[in-house]
Amino acid sequence: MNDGALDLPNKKLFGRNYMIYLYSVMRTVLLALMLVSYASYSFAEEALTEDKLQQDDKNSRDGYYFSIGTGYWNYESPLREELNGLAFVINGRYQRNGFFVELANGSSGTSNLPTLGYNFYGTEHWNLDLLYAITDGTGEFSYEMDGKTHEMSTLPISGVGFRALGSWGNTTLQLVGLNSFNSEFRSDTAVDYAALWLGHRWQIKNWSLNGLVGAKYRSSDLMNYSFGVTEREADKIVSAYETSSGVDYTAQIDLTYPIRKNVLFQIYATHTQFSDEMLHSPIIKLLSKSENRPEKEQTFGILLHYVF
Amino acid sequence: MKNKHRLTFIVLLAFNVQSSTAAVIAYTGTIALSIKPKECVVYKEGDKCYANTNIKWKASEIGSFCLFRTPGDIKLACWNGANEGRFSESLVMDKPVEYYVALADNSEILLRETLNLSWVHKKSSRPEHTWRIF
Repeated sequence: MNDGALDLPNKKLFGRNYMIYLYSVMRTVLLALMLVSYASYSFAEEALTEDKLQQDDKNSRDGYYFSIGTGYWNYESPLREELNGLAFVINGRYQRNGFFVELANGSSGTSNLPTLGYNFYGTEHWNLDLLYAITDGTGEFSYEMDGKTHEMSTLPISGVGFRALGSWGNTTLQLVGLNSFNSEFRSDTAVDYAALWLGHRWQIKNWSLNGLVGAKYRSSDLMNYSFGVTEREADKIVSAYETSSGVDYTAQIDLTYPIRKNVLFQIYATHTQFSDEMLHSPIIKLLSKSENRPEKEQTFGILLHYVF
Repeated sequence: MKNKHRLTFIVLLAFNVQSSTAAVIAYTGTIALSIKPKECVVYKEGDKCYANTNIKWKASEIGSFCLFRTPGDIKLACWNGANEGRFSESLVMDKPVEYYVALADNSEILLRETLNLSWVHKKSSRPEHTWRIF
C-alpha cells in the first residue's frame, strides 16, 4: 500500500509508522542540507566566477523559490480519508551549482516529498536532472476478523532516476522516470514509476489560468507491493490479488491572481482517474466499502500564498 | 574691451535671473498628485499588466494645468481656471508608467508620480514554481 495511498483505519499503528515516515523525510532533508553544504563548500572558490557566469546565463536554474500558503481545501480519494477544512501548503526549491532540493506540498492534491537532485544539463528549452525522491510514505491497512486484528503495511518508497523538463513560453512538459526501492522492496524493472505532465498557462487580464494534464505509470512490481495481496496474506475478507502495471490520469485547472508582488490568490480543482489495476485491489475495495470512499480522486482549494 | 565683456556678462546674468523669476512667478503655489493603484502586479515577468488608474491632482492656486503620461509624453487632459482635477483610464502596460502635471502654457513639469510594474515570478526557462513529480 502506498500513502499517496492508504490511510490508517487502525490508529494504534499510526505512531510507529508515522515515526518511520517522519524519519525518512528528516533523513532526506538532512541529506539535502549536507548535499547543498557540500556543494557550497566544494565550489566556494569558483562561486564568484560561477555567479558572474550565471548572471549572463539566462537558462541557469541556480537560485531559490519558497512560498507558503493557507486556505480551504476539500480532498476526496479512494486512498485516504476525506480532508475538508484548513489547508497549509509549502512549495520550495533551492539550487546551487546544479545541486538542488525541492519540496512541493498540498495544492496539487498530492504531495511531493523532499526531492534531491542534480541538474546536469540545461538549454533554453530543456533541463535534465538526476533525482532522488521519496515517492510514497508509509501505507497501513488493518481490519478485524474473528476477533483478531489483521494488519498489512508498506514502508516508504524511494526512487532514483531522471527528469526532463521542457519549457516553451507558457507551456511546460515534464517527464520523470524512477527506479523504486526500499529496504523490503527491490525491482528488476529499470523504471517502476514514470510520469508525464503537460501544462500551459493562459493570461486573462491579470489572472493566470493554468491547465495541467498528466499520466502516471507504476510497474507491476510496484503495483503489487502497494496494492497486491499475497496468498499468505489472503483470508476470507481480503482475497489474494496480483496485478499488472497501471496508469493513472490526472487533470488540474487553477486560476491565480497576483494581489501583491509576493501574495498570490489561487483557486484550483484536480481530478484523478486511477487505473483499474489499483481500483480492483481488494484492499481498495474494502476501504471503499467500509468508509464509503469514491473511486476517483478530487481536490478543490482556495488558497492565499506568500512568496518569499 | 574688457569692461564691455564684463557689462555683457552682467546683463546676461540679470536676464537669466529675470527669466527664472518669471517662471517661478508663473506658478508659485504647491500641487499634490495621487495615483491609484501605485503598482500593477503580474504573475510573471514579461506579462502585460492591466490597470484601471485613478489620478487626482490638487493645486493651492488656480491655474491652467495639463496631465501627461509617459512613455510618449501623451497629453491626457487639460484644465483651465481650476485648482483640482480627476482623470481615469484603463491601461495595458509592459513597463512602469509615469504621470505628470504641467503648466498648460509652458509645459513646465510641476509634479511626477510613477505607476510601477511588478511581478511575482521572474522570467526564466523553467516553470516558476516547483512542479509536481508524483
